[in-house]
Amino acid sequence: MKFILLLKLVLRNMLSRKLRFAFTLLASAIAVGSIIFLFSLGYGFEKISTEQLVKADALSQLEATSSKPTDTKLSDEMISQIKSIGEVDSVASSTSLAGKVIYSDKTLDSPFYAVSENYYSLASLELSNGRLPNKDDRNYLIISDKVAISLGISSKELIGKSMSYELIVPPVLGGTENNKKQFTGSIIGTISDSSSAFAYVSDADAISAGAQNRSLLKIKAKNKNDISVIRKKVEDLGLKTTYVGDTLEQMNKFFNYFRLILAGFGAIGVIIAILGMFNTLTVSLMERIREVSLLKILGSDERTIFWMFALESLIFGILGFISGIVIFLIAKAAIMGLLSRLAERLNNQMVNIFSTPTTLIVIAFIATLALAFLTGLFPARRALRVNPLDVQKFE
Amino acid sequence: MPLIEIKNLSKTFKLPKRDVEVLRGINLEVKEGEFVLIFGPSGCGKTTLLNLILGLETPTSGKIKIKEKNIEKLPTKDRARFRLKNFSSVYQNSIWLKSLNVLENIALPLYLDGLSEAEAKQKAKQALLAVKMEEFANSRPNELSSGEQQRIGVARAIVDDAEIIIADEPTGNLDSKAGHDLMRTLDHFHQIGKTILLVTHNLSYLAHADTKIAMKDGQIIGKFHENALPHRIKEELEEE
Repeated sequence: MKFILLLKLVLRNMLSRKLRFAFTLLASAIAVGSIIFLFSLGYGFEKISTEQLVKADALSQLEATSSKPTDTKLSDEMISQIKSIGEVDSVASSTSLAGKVIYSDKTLDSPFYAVSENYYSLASLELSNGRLPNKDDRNYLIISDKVAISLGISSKELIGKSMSYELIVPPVLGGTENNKKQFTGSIIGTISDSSSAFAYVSDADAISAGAQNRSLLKIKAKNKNDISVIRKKVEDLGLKTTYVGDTLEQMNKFFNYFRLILAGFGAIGVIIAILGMFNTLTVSLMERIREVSLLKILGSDERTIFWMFALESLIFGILGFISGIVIFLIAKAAIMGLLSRLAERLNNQMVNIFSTPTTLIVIAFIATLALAFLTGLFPARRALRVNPLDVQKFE
Repeated sequence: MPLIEIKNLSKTFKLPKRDVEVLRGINLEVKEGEFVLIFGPSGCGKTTLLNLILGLETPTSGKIKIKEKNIEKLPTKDRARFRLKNFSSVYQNSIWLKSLNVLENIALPLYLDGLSEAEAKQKAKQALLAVKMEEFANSRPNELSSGEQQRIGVARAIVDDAEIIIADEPTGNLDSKAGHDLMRTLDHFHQIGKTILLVTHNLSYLAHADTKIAMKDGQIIGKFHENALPHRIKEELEEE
């Protein structure tokens, strides 16, 4: 029998039992939809976490701090030593200081980060307003939105305005008790963070206020494969290092388990769908024993009879997959709609919690077809064993 | 050269507790274009004989040659192909593919033979016309009366122009008029050269056949060409 005719015959037969067809299809669709939904959610969470963690070229950077600030200090000499390591591309520094901002008649206590000029690019800092400093900038400020909110003025309006600020250098960074200095600078940028108040200033200010040491160094490798070499050399200098890759590895482990758990939930749906499809195909065979017998009496080849059932299961697989994708898209749209409203209400940025890689879709499609085919194999092979003469016994 | 040649054919069914010998030493020759009517009491082996000729069963011993081919020696796959190419069959209760309409059911043997849908339907229309049922082309077979269904069964049997029509009690479920209508249809196909093997209980159809075969207890007890049942055979059939 020509394939197109066989396909028509199978489709006509499937549609002749519309309700059974619809329920079987729904079961397959829910199984496929839930698997893709759960995996997309898993990948989505992983993507969000990874993206937050690994900004720009974070994987080629190390952070170094003093393991014992009293003994090992992040001094200029230490920075020079690190810069001299052959595999190191550049070093940026940050000094954490306490202080306050004074604007009009308002004063606000705030932590300050006095950073080197190249710190911004290594930290991949993104501004909500204004610009990053250039070489000519002296006594500038980059503040978080929270500072502006606390001062009762919008972030945008503060750009270009002059502000006074006071830096307090603790003894551990080389200052003396009550070592403080006041500056006046121009606000050149704001950072989108409405929950915590902080400000970035030039490291020249910290030095001017009496700081001799830094709190943190960002070390960029020429090649990210050299990170372990640099790490070893930096740690040999008595410093403590942290590397985002360590956290990433931990997270990958976690997400592997997370996906396994999600797959377990999805598998329950798949088993139910397989049982539903198996039941439909077996009942279909029972109802069509006479029809199979007729085909055998007429002289049908075994291939036609086998594919009559195998094709039915494959069609359930294909349609179940397509319907499953539709169910997934509807569920995704509904959840994203809810999140969008929530983000709007909380004045936060919208986050896409789903990520559906093409490989997931391709694997899901192949797996659905394979499972559907395997499910149809038993009724198809049983159909081949039907004895056409059994029909005469029922006559 | 006979179209069908059967020599010393026996068939025994092996049941769990005993063996049942259904056919014993059957010898039969059917010429091309011959109308053969096989009759006998229930359980005498008529249907088993037809099934053996169709290649749906394999003999315990003996030979069946159809068109010079020993069909019992063919593998199952080749027997199915041989059946598709050479035989058509009509049964007491016709079986239909429920999802197909009358025209498509008639075209089914042609679909199985690999013809295109358009070509198969064109031939099916001609077969429907031959049994004067063209107005039912788009109906579902199960919506029709038994008589109408049997005529459609005949249309399906002739659609692929197979040489041999096997009819197993085709009038069994029909009233007298519908039965005679069906017999006239078979006569028509006999006249245009088809070889027909008909199994029936109804001896009023004897006149339709060229050759009549009487069977009892798995054996052929008589073969005759007259339209009336010979006295000897009548007596033998009536014996306990």
